[in-house]
Amino acid sequence: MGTPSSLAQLIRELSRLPGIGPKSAQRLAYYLFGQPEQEVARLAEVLLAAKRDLHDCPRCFGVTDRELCEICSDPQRDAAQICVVEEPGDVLAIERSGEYRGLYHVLRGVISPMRGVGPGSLRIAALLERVVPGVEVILATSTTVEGEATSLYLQQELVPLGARVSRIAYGLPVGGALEYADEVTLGRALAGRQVVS
Amino acid sequence: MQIRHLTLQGYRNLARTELDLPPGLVAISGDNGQGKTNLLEAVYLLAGGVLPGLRLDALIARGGQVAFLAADLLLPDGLSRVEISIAAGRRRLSQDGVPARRYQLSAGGAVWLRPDDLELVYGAPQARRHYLDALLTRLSRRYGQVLSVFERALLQRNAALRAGLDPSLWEPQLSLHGAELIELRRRLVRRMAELLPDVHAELGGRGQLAAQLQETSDPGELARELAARREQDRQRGFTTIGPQRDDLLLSLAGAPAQAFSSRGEARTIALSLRRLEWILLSERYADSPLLLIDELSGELDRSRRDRLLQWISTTPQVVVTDTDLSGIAQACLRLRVDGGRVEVQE
Repeated sequence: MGTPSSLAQLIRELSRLPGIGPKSAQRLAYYLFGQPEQEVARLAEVLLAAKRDLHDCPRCFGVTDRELCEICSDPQRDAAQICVVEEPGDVLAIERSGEYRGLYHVLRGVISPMRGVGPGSLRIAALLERVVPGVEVILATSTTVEGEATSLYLQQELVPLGARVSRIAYGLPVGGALEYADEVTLGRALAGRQVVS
Repeated sequence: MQIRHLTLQGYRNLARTELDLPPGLVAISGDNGQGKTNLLEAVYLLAGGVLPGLRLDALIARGGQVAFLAADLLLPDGLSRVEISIAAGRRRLSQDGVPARRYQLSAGGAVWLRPDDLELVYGAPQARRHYLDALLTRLSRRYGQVLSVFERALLQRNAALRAGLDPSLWEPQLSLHGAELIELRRRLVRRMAELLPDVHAELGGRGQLAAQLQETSDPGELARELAARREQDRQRGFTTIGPQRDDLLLSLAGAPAQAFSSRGEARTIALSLRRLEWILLSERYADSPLLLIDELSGELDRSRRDRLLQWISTTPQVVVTDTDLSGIAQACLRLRVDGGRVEVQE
């Protein structure tokens, strides 16, 4: 039995989404097919509306439906701290922690010569313009090879501007048993240990 | 480790296969090109074997999209179900239903003797680096992790060199992880140097077999030397020093084995390296590795025959292949591979 062509097309489109493999795409496609028509129409509406209304925040390059994003335009946020992250989703992750009251800057990627991405392809010039002496820049790129190299590049650019630069700590996931931590994380967590007395 | 049950679907040229495997000697015969080596490779991968440079998409049957391999493995603490599925350039492992990393499967593991082991002696340095990397990955969980981070940073520095981007951004990670790889390799090679002369003599080798690392950089100097070589590396388009350029020098009676050993001598040296692998894995996991021998007759010349047969008889499970194995009387199970179909012979 062959797959009907419109179903095959739906599966193909869904499997192009990040993190969706062929099997998940198939499951999603059959799920959507099983939904009432108005539910599917509503999903399509939401997708289109999101695409229509959302754009980059011109200051931090997060995603917003306003002229300036909610965080950049909030006077309660601490303008003396800028947290630099790779992607808009990272802003949400840090916001969920509830621990941070400063501003953000989203690079929209990491330096990766293998993918032809150099510093010029990222929102780095705009970050440097935002930095004035006395501002603390918190480098929160991920601890992948590319995230580390991007963090190193930013350190080299930011220090001469008189910014205070910090890098998020390497450590163990809270609630995780030590024996399940991977070796490199464990090594880094030991190297970055904090004195308690 | 032993393998009790094997399932293959969509794997290389092999038809869908379900096999129960007994302890002792399993003999797989069949003409060349029918799939004997593919069957051995599947067992090796399921037993946690590491094949550096393996292309995952080559494991999927032509025209297929997914390859699935599964086995019931007998480990020191009981039976364990392992599954590997390969699709879209990714490999997923699970052990007893829980997603696993490669190294967690490797307790005891398997040692694979194959005809192209001669490359360990005569081949380019890469063959010997692969030997060290694969063995260290199975002996040390940390080594495998550090190696994969190092290799990623190396690919990025090389891409930066070719694209005219700044290579220095990748050097702190290269020197940090590279130094650790070198230190771990040194530790292994010191142990090898202690064991190899006896292992080699026991397999009938003549003359003292010695092993030492030939390094392109001292671990403490790696950062400085990478920086000093940027211009030269840019012209050549790749990173010219570091553990990815190091070699394992083998010498027989004081002479470099690569240049001076005869074919027979080289066979015994290669077999010694595999025997050493078997000994170190046995020590590390307190468990005899599964022994896989591709083209048994190639290994069985008169000078090594008795020692190899003794190795086989003292190993709980051994899988051998050859075009004709009717002369091997000890086999507990005989299989024949024909056009990708695996059949049990009476």
